Amino acid sequence: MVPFHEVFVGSRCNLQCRECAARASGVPGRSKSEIIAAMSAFAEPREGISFSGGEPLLRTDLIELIQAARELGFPRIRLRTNGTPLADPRLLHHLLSSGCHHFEIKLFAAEPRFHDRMTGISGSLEQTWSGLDLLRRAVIPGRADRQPFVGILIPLRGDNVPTLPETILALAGLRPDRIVLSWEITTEPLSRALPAIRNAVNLALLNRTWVLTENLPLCLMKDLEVHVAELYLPPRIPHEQVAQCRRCVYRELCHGVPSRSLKTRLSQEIKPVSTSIHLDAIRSLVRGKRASHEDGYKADAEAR
Amino acid sequence: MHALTVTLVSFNAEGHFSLANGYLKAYVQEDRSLRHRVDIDLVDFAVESHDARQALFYLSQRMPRVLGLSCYCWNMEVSLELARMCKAVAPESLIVLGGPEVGPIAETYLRDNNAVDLVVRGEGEATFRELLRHLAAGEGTLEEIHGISYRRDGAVISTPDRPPIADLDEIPSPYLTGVLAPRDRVTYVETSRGCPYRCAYCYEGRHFPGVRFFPDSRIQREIEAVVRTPGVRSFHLVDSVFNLNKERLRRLARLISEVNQAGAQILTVEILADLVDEETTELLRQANVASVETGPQTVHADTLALMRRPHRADAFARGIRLLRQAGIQVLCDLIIGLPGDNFFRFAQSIREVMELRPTTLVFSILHVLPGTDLYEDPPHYGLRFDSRAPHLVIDTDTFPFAEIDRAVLMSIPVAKEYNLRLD
Repeated sequence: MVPFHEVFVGSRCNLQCRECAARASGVPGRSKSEIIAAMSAFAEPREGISFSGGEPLLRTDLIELIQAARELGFPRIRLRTNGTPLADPRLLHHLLSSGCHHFEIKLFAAEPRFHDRMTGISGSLEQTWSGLDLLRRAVIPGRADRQPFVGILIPLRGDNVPTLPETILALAGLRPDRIVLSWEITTEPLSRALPAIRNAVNLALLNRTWVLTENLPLCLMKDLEVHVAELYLPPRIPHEQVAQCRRCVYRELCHGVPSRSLKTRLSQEIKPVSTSIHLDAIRSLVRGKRASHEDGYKADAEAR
Repeated sequence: MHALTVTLVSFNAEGHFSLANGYLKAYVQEDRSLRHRVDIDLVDFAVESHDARQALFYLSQRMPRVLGLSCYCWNMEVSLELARMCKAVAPESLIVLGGPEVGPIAETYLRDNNAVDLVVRGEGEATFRELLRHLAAGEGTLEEIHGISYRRDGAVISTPDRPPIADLDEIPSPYLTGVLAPRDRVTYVETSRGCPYRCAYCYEGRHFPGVRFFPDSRIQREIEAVVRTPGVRSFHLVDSVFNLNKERLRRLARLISEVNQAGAQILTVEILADLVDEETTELLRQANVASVETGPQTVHADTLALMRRPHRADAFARGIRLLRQAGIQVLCDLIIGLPGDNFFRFAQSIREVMELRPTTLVFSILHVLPGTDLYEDPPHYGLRFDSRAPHLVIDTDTFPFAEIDRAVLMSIPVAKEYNLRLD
């Protein structure tokens, strides 16, 4: 719900995940000045800046970028990372000291045979987990009563959906601040995956962890509407509505499906909703939200 | 003749200490007839890190004849545990409860807890002093002491209510009398009692309608004593609406700035942001107020109307902006589970308040406190809550339990993500 402006710092990465959108973009890196220009383009008031890649921590100038973000007046600086470099305690301390206190760690599964297969790198889970463990035990230098914010992003890509319960239970021991289940391009029918997603949401709640779903339209999230991330912030990737959306009560409130999913089963599985007891409250919540945050999305798109 | 030994215990939230017990001791000490007949010991524990057995260990060094417990919704469980254990090892001790958690439902606490002998209802200073006069000097009878409930021959007896003390200057300052020693960050200076509003979820306005003010000169002397204490660089003010009256705010800002030459900061003061204008922020700066706490509790007009909380959205937004521009930190409070709200409406409150860019967001689940309108008439509000302290809301007609639980779980990371900011 806290708005962050996304800044892409280049697709260079130490993992080789299948279906990686950043790698497919063919933009290996951006210069420091380009990135600072992109950050400067965001209109004030500046709330949060989020560095994403690729793996941003492979940049040797990342600390300088964080310092530049501070100087530009961003009060919250987030890193979207695969977590493997955080296993180095000196690097983590350096990051926290420089002002990066928000993290989103990408994790496919808590079992190496799934996670490592999906990242294409043997041993990557062990490193990510070590980084996560260090991060969860870290305190912010000079503010001993404060710990960094640790979100977990679980991209759902078919193979790892059946492992969700085990992943959620394994994460419970680390007590992340939030888990995001992100539906990514997959040949898996959503109807088959939904029971596992619902189960994962309930397991996370039972373990007192807040969970959001991403890229899943409201019509498919019946009774789980409160977990739909796009109700609180604009989607991180472009979305489009499909023909069925025109007959749905949520048509003015829902972004539809990710554009890149238009040719997948997801768009065929859309079923218009005819009534919703939440309609008025959701309408009231969503009203005004898009205008307030989309400017930043556009600014970064232009900068890129 | 041995003095009557009294120990007043308070289990406080971390980083705070009890002003209430300090007032009781200062008020009793002022009574010449009691000065040599009563020996009062104050002891503060932290509710998060101390337990009843530690408190009992302390008490066992000098088991008091009277044990007084300062009771709030957050410390009731441990206070009752201590009462039970103390009664078990020293049955002759008189165990007295006081505070907003027990006053409104004194008879319930007496009926449900055999270890509790007596409850002081409402404002405690005058009642407690009379009780000690009775116990230490044999004056009068319990029946003659207004504002208490107690057990006699298995029956619970309540005497008539006692009106609040009209002139607050009657109550000696715990700081000026040396009862409490000011300490940095945890010192509270009370400037008024009561509240002009009657919010349905709040105890203050219903039981202490109208506002009584401590005299300006007394406030000035207290603050002077606090800021002159070595090491004290900040303190808090206790005032239900510090900016209610502009003329009073002008006076207080002036007198605080006169004595606060060292520049100690006022860390918390409750205000109504709706009433803030340019002059208010200037006065708050003059008083060296570093941060203020304000609502809106929810942004929904119908819920606010049901709660009888005053709120003007445009004025509130303007007030937050002016405070921010003046460099004053703003804490905005939102309550989860108010009757009339639901999950999405709560989320909307977060979004709208976040857009005002306060320094800090504070979320709390609704506590249905004894003595409040919500507690007294839950069917009217379509409300169910836990009858035991801290009396958390369970559900409402508009906010099912599963949604309240989700709202609480959502609020924790939202607060952390938002409040974690670079200075």
